[in-house]
This record gives sequence, C-alpha cells and structure tokens, in this order.
Amino acid sequence: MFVTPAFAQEEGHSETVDLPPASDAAAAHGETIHVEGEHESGFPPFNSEYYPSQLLWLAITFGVFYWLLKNVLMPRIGGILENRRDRIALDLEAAERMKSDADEAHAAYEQELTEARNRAHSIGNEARESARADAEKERKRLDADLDSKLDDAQARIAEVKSSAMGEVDQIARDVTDAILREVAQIEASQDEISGAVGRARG
Amino acid sequence: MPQERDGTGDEAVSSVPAAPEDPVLWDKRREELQRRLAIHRERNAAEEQRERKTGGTGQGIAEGLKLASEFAAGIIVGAAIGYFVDKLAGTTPFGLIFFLMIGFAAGIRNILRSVSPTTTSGQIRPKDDAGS
Amino acid sequence: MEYDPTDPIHQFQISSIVPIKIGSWDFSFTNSALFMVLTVAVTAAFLYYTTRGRGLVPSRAQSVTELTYEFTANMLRDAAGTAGMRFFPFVFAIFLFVLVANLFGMIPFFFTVTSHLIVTFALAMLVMTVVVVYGLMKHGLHFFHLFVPSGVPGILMPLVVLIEVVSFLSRPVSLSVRLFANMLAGHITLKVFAGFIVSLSAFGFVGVIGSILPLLMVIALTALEFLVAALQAYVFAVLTCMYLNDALHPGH
Repeated sequence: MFVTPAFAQEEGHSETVDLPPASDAAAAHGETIHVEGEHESGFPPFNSEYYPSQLLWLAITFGVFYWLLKNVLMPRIGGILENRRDRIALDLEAAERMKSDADEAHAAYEQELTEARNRAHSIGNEARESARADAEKERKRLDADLDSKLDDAQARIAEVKSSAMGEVDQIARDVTDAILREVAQIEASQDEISGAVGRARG
Repeated sequence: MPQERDGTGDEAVSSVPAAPEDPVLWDKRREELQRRLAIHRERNAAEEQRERKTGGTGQGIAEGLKLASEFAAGIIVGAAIGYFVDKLAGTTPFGLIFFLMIGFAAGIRNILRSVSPTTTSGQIRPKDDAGS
Repeated sequence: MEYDPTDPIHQFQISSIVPIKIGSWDFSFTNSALFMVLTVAVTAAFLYYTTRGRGLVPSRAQSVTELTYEFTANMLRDAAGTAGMRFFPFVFAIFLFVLVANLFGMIPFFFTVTSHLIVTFALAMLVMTVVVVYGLMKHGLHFFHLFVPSGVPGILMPLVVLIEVVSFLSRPVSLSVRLFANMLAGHITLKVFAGFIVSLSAFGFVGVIGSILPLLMVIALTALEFLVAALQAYVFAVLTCMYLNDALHPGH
C-alpha cells in the first residue's frame, strides 16, 4: 500500500543505482522458480482451493477467541492477579502497622517504666526527707522539753536548798538554845545564840 | 503493661508463658518481625526493579531465530515487487533486478534493526553501503 | 480412506467436513476449521476452568494460566512500554492461538493449523493492519516518519525510504513464512523419519535393528519440535509487540 508512491521515485532513480551483481539476480531467480515449482505440485499448503474457507474460519474463530479473551477471560485472570497483589500489599501493610504499633507500645512501656521508677525514687526520697524532718522536730521538741524540765528541777532544788538552809539556822539555834538550857543551864538570849550560830557556821 | 503482653501473645505463637523473661522474648519476637518485614520489602523492591528492566534470555533466542527469515523476507518481497512492476510496466528484467537490490538492502536493514534494539541514525550508514 | 502411511505430505491435506458453498467460493467447514475451533475452544475452556476457583493461592493449573498471562504482559511491556498494554488482549490472543495451534499439531493425527501459509499470513497481515491503522489513527501522517530515518543525506533519501518501505513490507512475509516453514518442515521431518522406521522394519530382523536409529531421531526431533512450537509462538508474539511499538512510537 505504501509502495505506489515509491514506484514513481524508483523509476527516476533506477539509473543512478549500480547494477546488481549477477549472482544476486540468479539467486533471486532460483528463489522465485522454487516457489512456483511448489505451486505446481499441488502441495496442500499452497492449494488455493481452500483459501477462502481457511480465511473465513480463521476470522470467525480468532474473532470469537479475541472477544472471549478481552471480555471474559482476561478481566477474570487480571482480577485474580490484582486481587492477590492487593491482598499481599494489604497484609504486608498490616504487618508493618502492627510492627510499628508494637514498637510504639514498647516505647510507651519503657517510658512508663522509667517514669514509674523515677516517681518511686522521688516518693522514696520525699518520704525519707519528711521522716527525717519529723524525727528532727520530735527530737528538738523533746530536747526543749527536757531542758525546761531540768531547769524546773534545778530551780526547785535551789529553792529547797535555800529553804533547807534557812531551816538549818533555826534548827541550829533551837538546838543551841536547848543545849545551853538543858546542859549548861545558861540562859542565853536569842541574839547571842544567833550570833554564836552565825560565827560557828562561819 | 499486661495488655501489651497479651497483644504480642495473640500475634505470634503464644507458647510463651507470662514468665519474668517475657520482655526479653517479646523483644526477640519484635526483632524477628522486623527482620522478616525487611526481607519482604527488599524482595518487593527487587521484583519491581526486575520488572522495570527489559530483556531476558528468551528474547535472545528469539532474536537469533528470526535473523535468517528477516533477511530472506526482504529479498522475497523485493523480488515480488520487481516481478509485478515488470509485469505492469513491461520493463523486464530491470524492475526485478532493481527491486532485488532494494530487497537485499531491506533484508540487511531488517537484520540491523533486529540486532540493535533502537533505531537510531547511526545504523543508516552501514545499510546504505550495503545497498549501493 | 486410503492413504500411504509414510507420505509426509498427507498430513497437511485439507478435507471438507461440512461443504458450504457461497457463490463460487468454497467456505466448507474443513478439518483445518475444525482444529481452529478446537484450538479456541480448548484454550478458552482451559483459561476459564483453571480460574474458576479464583484462588488467592493458585492451584497448579491456575498457575499455568497466570504465568502465561504475566509472561505475555511482561513481553508486551518490555517491547512497547506501558502504552502498549492497550494491545494486551490482541497480543495474548495471537500468542495463545499460535501456541496452542502449534502444540495441537504435535498430537498424532491432529491437523496443524499453522502449517498452512495462508493462515499464518492472515495472522501476520492482521498484525500489520492493526499496526498501520492504529499508527495512522494515532499519529496521522507522522506515522510515515517510520520510513524516513533521520540523518540521511538528501540525495540518498528516496533510496533509503524505498528500502525502509520494502523492509516494512517484508515484515508480514517474514513473520508468516517463518512460522509456516518451521511448522511445515518440522512435521515433514518427523514424518519422514517415522516413515523410515516403518519401511526399514519391513526388512525383517536387520531392518528392525536398523530402524532403532531413526526411532531415536524421531524421539529427539519430537522434543525439538515441542521446543520449536513454543518458541515460534513466542517469536510471533514478540515481533507483534515490536511492530506494535512502531505504531505507538514511530520515528525514533
């Protein structure tokens, strides 16, 4: 079909082209003669009697085949393959997602664990601190208590001592008076006795 | 944390009792999963690469098989055209001779086209030399 | 019917089964037509039957279907790119038809549809028609750039274009002649060697011993013919893909 325009050009150019070597032409002749020889022998593949029949049935069968493939079979096969590809991709995706979920959970777990550990640590510290503070306070309170009690006791001791001391004077004087009166039969005045006792005590 | 332990148990073979070393096993299983996913990713990438790449051994055999007939077909067509041109124009035998030449060149052109996958201007020259 | 069992040509004989005549044309349903119908019916039935389960994990038969499908898809994508995938049903039909017809020919007493030049030539012309029609539809006159390679000096241009045109015209010839000749020659060779066995065996004991060699040859050739049957279908399909590529991207 594309030959016709070429023919015209060829006519003009055939002179410019070198003549072909004789061997080529001979080979070509052999070729054509060979083909024609097969034609004459009634060789079945070249028997044109059944050409129309073969062409017609080829057209029918191939047409039906093409239609079947295009509209029924290939969508079917393609669908199956597509389906599988999608399914595998989805499964892989799901696996990836689960994996990342697991990773996340793992990370969260680790974080929580450290947090909890930190919290426990701080709580422990706090408790220890407060306990120590409480103990300190208690100790201070007790110390103060004891101090005040000690002071009280000392004050009372001093009081008792001084009162006791005062009583000792009286007793000494009484005793002196009594002794003087009973033993020496000396009547001494209270002033003399007091003076004597005071001297004796020094 | 107990929920997570259950989660992994569902996912893989849960023959592992909730033992004190569970976190270690859990880690191991996670690594296994990661390894397998990486293998899959790699395989998918390789497959795509392979699909993108052209050519195969089958193509080579086909190339080799068709060379002879490509060449012969060029000459046959040339001879046929020449024969009909001679018949129509009565130029026997020059049409046949000329078109045999053309057919010969076309046969070589066919072979050159088959040998190199893309048709570039570089292949025009040798074919020209052969033709004239 | 009487026929010489060693006649290597007889297997290609077409015989009418249901004579149909329209005018002076003979459209009889022949043994060739019968095997075309069988080829199509068996292939379609196989494809349909194996995919009935729509198994996510394919059965063995389903794998065959799927592998063929993907194989053809890859072949087309390699040759003609993603744009070529619109021709996938066409290429798949050609490939399967030729493949199954070739393989059917390997079954004894079966007629080889592809051993007739007119059939292979019709298929090749179908391919070429699709290429030309689609190329003209898609690219208009730009399609003819296929015949005008770039970088040619002006004076040589007509010659080069002529050569390109002849080269293009030789495609259906080479496509059809290759397939036809391979199938024809293979079957004739097989038959000739098989005939040797029969005629040698007729010569008594020595003949039987002597027929072992052709027997071995027949076995080897049969294996080779199976390979050729598959390979020729593949070549036919690959070239179809390549020519379609020209229709899609003319004038590189």
